[in-house]
Amino acid sequence: MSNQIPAPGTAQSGAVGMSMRPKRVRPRIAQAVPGIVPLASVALFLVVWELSSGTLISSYFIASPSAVWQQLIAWAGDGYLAKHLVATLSGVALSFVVASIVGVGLAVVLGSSRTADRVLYPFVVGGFTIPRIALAPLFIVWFGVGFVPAVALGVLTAFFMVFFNAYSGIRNTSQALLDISQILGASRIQRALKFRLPASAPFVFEGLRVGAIYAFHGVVVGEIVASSTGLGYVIIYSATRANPAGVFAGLVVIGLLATVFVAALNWAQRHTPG
Amino acid sequence: MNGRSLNASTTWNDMQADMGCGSKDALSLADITKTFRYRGEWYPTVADTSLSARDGEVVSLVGPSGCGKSTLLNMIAGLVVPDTGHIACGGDVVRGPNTRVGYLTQDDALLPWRTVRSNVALPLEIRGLPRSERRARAMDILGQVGLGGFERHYPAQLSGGMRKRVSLARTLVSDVRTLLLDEPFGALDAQTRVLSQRLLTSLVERMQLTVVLVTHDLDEAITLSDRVVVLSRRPARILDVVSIPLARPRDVTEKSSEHMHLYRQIWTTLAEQLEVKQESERDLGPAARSEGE
Repeated sequence: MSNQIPAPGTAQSGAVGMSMRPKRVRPRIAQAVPGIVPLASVALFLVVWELSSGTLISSYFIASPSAVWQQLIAWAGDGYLAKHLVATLSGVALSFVVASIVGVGLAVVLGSSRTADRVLYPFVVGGFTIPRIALAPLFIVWFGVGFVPAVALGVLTAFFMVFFNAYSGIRNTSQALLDISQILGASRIQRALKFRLPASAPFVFEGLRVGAIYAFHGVVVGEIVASSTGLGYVIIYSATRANPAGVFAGLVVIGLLATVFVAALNWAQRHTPG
Repeated sequence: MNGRSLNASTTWNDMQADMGCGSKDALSLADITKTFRYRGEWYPTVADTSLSARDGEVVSLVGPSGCGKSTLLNMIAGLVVPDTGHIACGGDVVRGPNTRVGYLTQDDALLPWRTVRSNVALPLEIRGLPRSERRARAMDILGQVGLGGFERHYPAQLSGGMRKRVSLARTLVSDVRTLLLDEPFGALDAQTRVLSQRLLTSLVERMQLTVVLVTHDLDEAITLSDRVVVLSRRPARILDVVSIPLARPRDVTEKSSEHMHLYRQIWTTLAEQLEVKQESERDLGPAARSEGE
């Protein structure tokens, strides 16, 4: 009875509580099970993908989910996946740490000293305008092919994100705080570290958050063009070996990793004091 | 020394004579001029102003909005350099940021990422005092401003009046003898303002501080000060210096007939400036409202 659709004209005049109920029937399942809609859409996508790979589209271009799964299982079994995962993760961690230290450090120096700003800022902007990937050949010349050029690319990619965010925060420290620092007789270094840097903490954290993602991107790109380890290398190696399942497996791992990464960073940001 | 007025043409020497020779001025400004340049236009902000304060004296500056009162404080604090004239604090000429003064600006300028105690201890931290001494002195001064028990709070957790007191404690912790106060209680509600004024009065009397107070509140100026300096509209010139011979200790809430007389005297001088301004400029409104009763 209550689920009956009201006859035209009676919906508004009927009981207030009842008149809205029929409209809620459809979203009810979605409400009962949180996340069911995105899960269902992904499942449907996988089914369509599975059915069309090898039938509608050549499996050489688009490997089927089952083939990708089998590839992942195989790699997981023989330690291949673990080895390259570790290479990528350690590369990301290393380049993120280096980029953060250099980025924040340089931002403090340039943001606090007008002379340093005038002398160095043109170089930073100049470096920023060059596409990072264009420097990969140079890194290969310098470091050879391997872990180091991939990390170098990750550092460079992340650095600018960290630097520019921190720099703009430090430059925008309120004049009231800087005045107080002067009256209290703070030295240049005290002013930079006790006033400017903490005052720009929100900017610095945003820079670190974006920088972490960029470090990941930079390292993977570096692995594709200049390394013999890591997930980027796995993709390019599978491609040259005409193994589409391998390429897709690599992409799947990278996608999952990125998702976890972003979620972790968002969590860290929410749980940062201030 | 009290009970005398100075007119606008008072020179530096007259002023010194008025202050009494022998007693060393805690603060003196001689023939100060300041002109700002903004978008190609020159704005004379302070003109030929000489002013001094004896040790332990409270001097208030009142004048129309935007007349250059805050610029005067910024110059005493060494944050703004005057075009002409010189400023001396405790006998030394001010060159660069003046670390001998405590400066309480309109906003409290607390460091939001530090606790109350850590904010108050900041001046000592900058001077490199050991942690235990910093803590002890911060706690002591927090007690004096009535904030014992709030040392672990963050500024955002406090009311406006409490933040003001933290700011005051930070100013007093480093043993400065001179305070510059720029409309310190302007943003507070009426009751909180009275309590803050009362606290300031008792601290100033107890610690024998020299104070330069910029305010829009004539009652506040009269109650807190030994002298009230009435400034003209921009560029600021001294129109009148009114001595406040009221007996101390004074009560912020008590307005004697003498108080009211002084109020009328200052207001008359000030009102002329506001009227002239009203004819020539539009942005008078807020000043007239906040200064009128």
